[in-house]
Amino acid sequence: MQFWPWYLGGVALTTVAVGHWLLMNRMMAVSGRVTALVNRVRFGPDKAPALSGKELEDALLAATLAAFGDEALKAPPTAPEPAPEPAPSARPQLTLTKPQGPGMHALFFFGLAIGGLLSVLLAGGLEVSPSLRGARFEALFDGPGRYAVLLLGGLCVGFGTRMTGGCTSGHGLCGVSRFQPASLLATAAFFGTGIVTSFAVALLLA
Amino acid sequence: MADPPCPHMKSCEMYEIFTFSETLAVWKTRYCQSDYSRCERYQRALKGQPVPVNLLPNGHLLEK
Repeated sequence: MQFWPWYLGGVALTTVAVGHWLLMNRMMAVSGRVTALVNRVRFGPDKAPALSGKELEDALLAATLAAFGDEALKAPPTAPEPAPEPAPSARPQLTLTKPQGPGMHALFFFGLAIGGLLSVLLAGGLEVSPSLRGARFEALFDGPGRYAVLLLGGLCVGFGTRMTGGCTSGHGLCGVSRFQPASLLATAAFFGTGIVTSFAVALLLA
Repeated sequence: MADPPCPHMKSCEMYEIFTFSETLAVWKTRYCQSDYSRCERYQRALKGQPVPVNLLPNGHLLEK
């Protein structure tokens, strides 16, 4: 099987990340969708109502007055001079966006699998192999050992993803492009560790 | 020296809403920019629990 040129991969990933943001009005995060599905199983469906505009303003004002009373109506002592109140038509619409349901997550993962399948078919055909395509890997691990190593690697990736609150799509693609400090650090950590580990393994197995 | 602000401010949907008016700014001064460790949203995020979009820092859920 021939891999696609790296630059086409970059264009495709950018198109998907930007397209997701434009169509969904939210950042693409694959592990975030997995977390949402797991949370649904653990904690049940999200019962938050979709609030917007006047009903959200009214609910917020009532909750604020109930929590702070008259203090809420006084400007904070360190606050700058309040800006003139914009005309109602110019005010941004207040909205609480309801999280996507499991159907949307399932559709996303279905598209992910179909996209991967199309990609390999266009590149020369589907080939399933429990291997890392390295002579050293194949020499070192044989039979069920290969599956065990790949499973362990997958578990480590999942653990790291949960620990840092994101994966290569959320941190690496979307977070880094937005210069988010946590994403820059996470991406530097997992890419740096991957590079060092691959060199170390190559040296150890040489 | 002022307390450091909540590290979740940039990603918190409710914080964005608190910037909407002077009346709502009291949530920021009482929670986001001071004692954010008692914020219910922050506590749930730290525990890895889902944070409902309509949850206020004091634990109150906004309803219609």
